[in-house]
Amino acid sequence: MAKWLKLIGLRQYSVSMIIGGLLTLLFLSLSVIALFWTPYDPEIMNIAGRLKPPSINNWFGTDQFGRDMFSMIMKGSQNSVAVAMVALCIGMGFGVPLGALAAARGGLIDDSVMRFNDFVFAFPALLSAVIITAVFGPGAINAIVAIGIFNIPVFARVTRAAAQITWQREFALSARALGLTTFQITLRHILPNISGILIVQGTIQFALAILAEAGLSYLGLGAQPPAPSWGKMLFDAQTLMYTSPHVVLIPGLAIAFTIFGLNLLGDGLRDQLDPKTVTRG
Amino acid sequence: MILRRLLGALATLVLASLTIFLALEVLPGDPAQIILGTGAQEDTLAALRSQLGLDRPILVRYVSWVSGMLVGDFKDSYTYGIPVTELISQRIYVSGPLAIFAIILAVAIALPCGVISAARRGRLSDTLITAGTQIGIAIPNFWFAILLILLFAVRLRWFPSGGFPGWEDGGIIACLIALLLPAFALALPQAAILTRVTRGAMLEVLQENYMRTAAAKGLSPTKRLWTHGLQNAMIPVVTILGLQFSFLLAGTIIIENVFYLPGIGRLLFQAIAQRDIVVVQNLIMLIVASVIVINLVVDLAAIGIDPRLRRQDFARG
Repeated sequence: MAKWLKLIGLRQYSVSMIIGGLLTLLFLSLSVIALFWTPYDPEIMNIAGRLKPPSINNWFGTDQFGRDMFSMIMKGSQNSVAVAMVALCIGMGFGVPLGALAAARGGLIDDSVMRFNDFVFAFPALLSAVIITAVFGPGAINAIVAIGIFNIPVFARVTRAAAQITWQREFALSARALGLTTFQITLRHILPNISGILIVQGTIQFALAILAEAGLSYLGLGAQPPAPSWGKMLFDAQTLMYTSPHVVLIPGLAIAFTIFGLNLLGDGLRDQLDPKTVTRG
Repeated sequence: MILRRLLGALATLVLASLTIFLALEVLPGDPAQIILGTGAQEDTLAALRSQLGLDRPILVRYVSWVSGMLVGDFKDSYTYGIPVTELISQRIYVSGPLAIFAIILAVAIALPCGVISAARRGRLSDTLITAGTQIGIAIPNFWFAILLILLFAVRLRWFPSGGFPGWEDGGIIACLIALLLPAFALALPQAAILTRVTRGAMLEVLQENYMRTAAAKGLSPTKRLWTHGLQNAMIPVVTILGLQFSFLLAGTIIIENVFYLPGIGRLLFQAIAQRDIVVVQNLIMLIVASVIVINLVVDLAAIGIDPRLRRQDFARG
């Protein structure tokens, strides 16, 4: 395997990272292709051809309304990417500045940011989604906002911890000696140096967001019909699992493979960035 | 140090209760209108508002809500018409044992797997366990729950596919059997994460000098691993366990719905569907408060395990 990787110039990447990368690529390309093409229209029902097992015509079979499940999985991946992307942007957009601010200023500001973190951490994404749904009624936006809010303390924590270490490096001190302001140092020296850690955390949070979105749509707190979503597909399939197991197996496998790929990619990236963990296995 | 941690937890509790109160009691509009519908007469609405205490100032309502909760006196549910306390007390005997059962299962799976994986690093057993944790993290627990039902309840008929017989009517054995599949579904992702944490912590510990001293002293490898090693690796494990508890409580909301268990999570889900704000408000406060209290207990337990933490500023994570 190692020899083969060397041949195609991927020697420095681990096997699991490549598998993770390929799975992630597959998932992302499915959602991009679904923008302009799916084998069938995922919303067109065909009662005569309902609950058909996987075949040449319908790769993943059809559901209880005769909709093509492969097309639904493709459209559903789009929903997952969209929710996870926006939730990640919310988490990073608020979390990274907060963490950087806490590391740069310290003292009271640091304390208040950490308190705020503890506070948001007490609300798992599912609970925030429940609160938002109770107030505004169910909708796809709820899931995004709830998952995004939960991402804020995660990124604030990671950014703060990494930035604190970077501030102690010589180049931060010399930048200070050159007369740069705290804001300039953070922007030009601190953030570029911790971007690797943030990318790794981003991959992990992306996977967690997809998982959380599936759970929320399963409970009916996320995407609303007819928008296809993997969690919603699982909920609809639950009563049919006795007669047609494929309607339950396929959406679950889609979620599991996506998360698996993203996690492998995240772990691989972390190993690349931190040589210490590579030697440790 | 301990005092500072206690005050911090108290502040978080107050902030959380304020947020929940503002989000659920002030934002959604007029509960009287929700109960009576849009066609209600103004004087009936006013009468109901004063009956529910909604005509009082916001601050008074907040204080009475919090002080009521402190003495276990919750308001009446809009839809059930009985005090929320009663609703909760019926269901806590399902959710509580379920969560504890799941944590016990997760620890029982994760500790041996993590220790073995670290001790036999790079060997086949390590590779298998690590691969297993990757799969365990990737599988959504509600899908895993459906698969468990499909295999053990539908095909093999070993376990019931859902429902709960009740501690008094069904007996302890029947109840534990009913809780086994849900607890296992809840425990799987937690066990996977915990195994990884245990493995990582053990690998650190195995390189410490005192492990070599223990070997030089003539302690057998098994004893070194499970007494000296595990005890020192426990601190990160216990901390993560506390953080996981909040995910576990959130997970019960989904899992109870998969298995039709009459617990807190199912009650919460039904309350949202019926827009029973009082129940939602109190249940969320209950869950958030337990998350905060458990994390506090875990931090204090970490001090108990590791005397060094008594002097360090460990609250700043």
